[in-house]
Amino acid sequence: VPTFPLDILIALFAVVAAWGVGRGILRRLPLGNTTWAEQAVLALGLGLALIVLLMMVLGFAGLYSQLQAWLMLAGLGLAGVVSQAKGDLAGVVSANGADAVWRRLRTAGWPFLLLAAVLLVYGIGYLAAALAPTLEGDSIAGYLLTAREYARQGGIVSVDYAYTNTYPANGQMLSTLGFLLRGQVLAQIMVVWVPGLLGAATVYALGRRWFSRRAALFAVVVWYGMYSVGYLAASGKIDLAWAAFDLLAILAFARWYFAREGERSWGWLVVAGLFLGIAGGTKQASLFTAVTMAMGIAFKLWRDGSFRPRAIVQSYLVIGLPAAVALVWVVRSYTLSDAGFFTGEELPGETGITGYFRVLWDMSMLGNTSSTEGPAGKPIGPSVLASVPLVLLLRDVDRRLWHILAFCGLMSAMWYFGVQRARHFLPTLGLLSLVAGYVVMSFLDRKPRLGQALVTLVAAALVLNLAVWAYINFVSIQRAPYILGMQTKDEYLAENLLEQGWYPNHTVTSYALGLPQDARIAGLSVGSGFYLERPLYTGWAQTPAEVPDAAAFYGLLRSSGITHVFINDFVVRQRHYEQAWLAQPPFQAEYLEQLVCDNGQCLYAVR
Amino acid sequence: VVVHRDGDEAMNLRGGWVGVAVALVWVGLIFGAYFALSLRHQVLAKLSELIR
Repeated sequence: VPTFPLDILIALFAVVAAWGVGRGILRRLPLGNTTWAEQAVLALGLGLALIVLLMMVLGFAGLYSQLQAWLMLAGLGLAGVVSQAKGDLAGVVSANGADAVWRRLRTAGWPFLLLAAVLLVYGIGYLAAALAPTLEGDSIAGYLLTAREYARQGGIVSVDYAYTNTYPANGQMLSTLGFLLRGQVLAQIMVVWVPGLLGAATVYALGRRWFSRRAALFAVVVWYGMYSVGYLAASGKIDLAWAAFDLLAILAFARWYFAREGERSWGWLVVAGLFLGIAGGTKQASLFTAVTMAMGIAFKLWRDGSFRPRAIVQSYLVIGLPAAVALVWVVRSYTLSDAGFFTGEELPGETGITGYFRVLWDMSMLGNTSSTEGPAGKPIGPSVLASVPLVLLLRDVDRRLWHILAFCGLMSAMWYFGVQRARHFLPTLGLLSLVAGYVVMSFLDRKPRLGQALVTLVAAALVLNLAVWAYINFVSIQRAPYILGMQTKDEYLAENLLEQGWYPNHTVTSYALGLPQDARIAGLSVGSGFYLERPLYTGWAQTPAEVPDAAAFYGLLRSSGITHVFINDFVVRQRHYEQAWLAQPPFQAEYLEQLVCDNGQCLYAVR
Repeated sequence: VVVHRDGDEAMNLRGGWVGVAVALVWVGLIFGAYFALSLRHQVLAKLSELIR
């Protein structure tokens, strides 16, 4: 029997509870008029931010349990109901609203119906991908691993064998909630699918406010249909949660920035700061957003002639204080390691002026930095690159567009010197999608045939991308039998781990379940030990050049508490570990006892 | 919110038909490259995987 309906129901309950509470908070903030779309995304964003903060406090206090999670959610649901009862319920559920949507759909014209249909298919596809345990490398080596351990161990603990141990973990607060309430699938829905939709809806709300409904729809489809987003949608990573909160910060900041002098409400800066704090505590790439916003504040104050110390300090404090909540994770990172930030220095990337354009080209075509990583990256597709430069051909352009492009330019410059991956650029890509939407809609108005050709090409690229994504996630990885209840999780892993040469296979993971609870497994590299259910410590690739004596290396293993060793011949070949002590048969024969071997993967006990 | 003025000169593109030609070439180049590269690296790779 398929169990996913229950996961979806619980996720919906969490979303409704978060939205209800968020709506209550929103009404008490001095923000002035908001559109329906802004209200919806801000309410859900504020509710999810509250969940993240509550989970953070409870986690550091070591108070996680299934009961705590349900009580928290029930409390939020109740608070949401109470706040709605006092307010205007008519605005929440409106038959007129549904009528208006239907009317618009009927009169939208084929290019928009086509885009809406593509968006719907993507949304359902992403949900389906989240309904089966992920096999994405970073998730099972880090992001989901930490969240599961937080849930199991009842609080935010050090998971020193997960490579994400010292990273900020606001995203994991959502997946931990999923693990506490039910399990891995709900964790994936909470950290990937729900924030993905929130991010897309925020792009829509931004477009609806500053451009048009049609430009907004176009932007949403382009952004949500990027392979980079699709890749994350089939993972347990936190990037979509980060993108959603960062986009919400941008939405709030834009309301402050674009407001007329004298009509600017500091409330928007507070909201921007709060979302920036949640985003920065999810992924530190928000630092770029913060720096760009700081420049924006200075520019706006200067333009208004109010660039005075008092106004400057006030504005920065109003946005900076709520954003400072992200520092909690920096402090934690310092206590666990010597560094508070992840810089990504060791990751390959392009350099120089030409490298900048090469990155943009690669990212649009085959994958980010494909010239250094190979073509199997996660591209964003050609739509942004094809559409945005055409803005130069338009007369009578909305002046706000240039401000948005300046924001994107500054963000891209900083991103280029940071980690050159599309997923670190998702909020800016949302803005660039909006610019693309504006351009394409202008073409539809001014040169309809050219505009229609553009929409058709974009839709064709999205459909091709969807086909590739669907093949990888539903044919290469057989998710359907598990989702439909025709396979247990064990059978699902047995079938699908076979295809994943980098990860421990099903024979090894099954055997590991029988190891003592305090077993510590050493491996060469590539953690991905989520399904092992026992700690897999990587970095044990020392060769005789580093540790000259076999007995000394054995002593090192013992003194580190290592009880078992996992060797994957595929990884040995791919990463050239033939010289490592652990990979050498004489060392294995003398110091290790083979427990199980299958398909080039062996698990040993340390003698 | 942008207000487009129907029939106004400002509605047109910069450079008139040259602008349209530039737009066509640029869009054709980007989408052409994307479809060609995708076909080569992704679709053909998947097809050969299927055939195997």
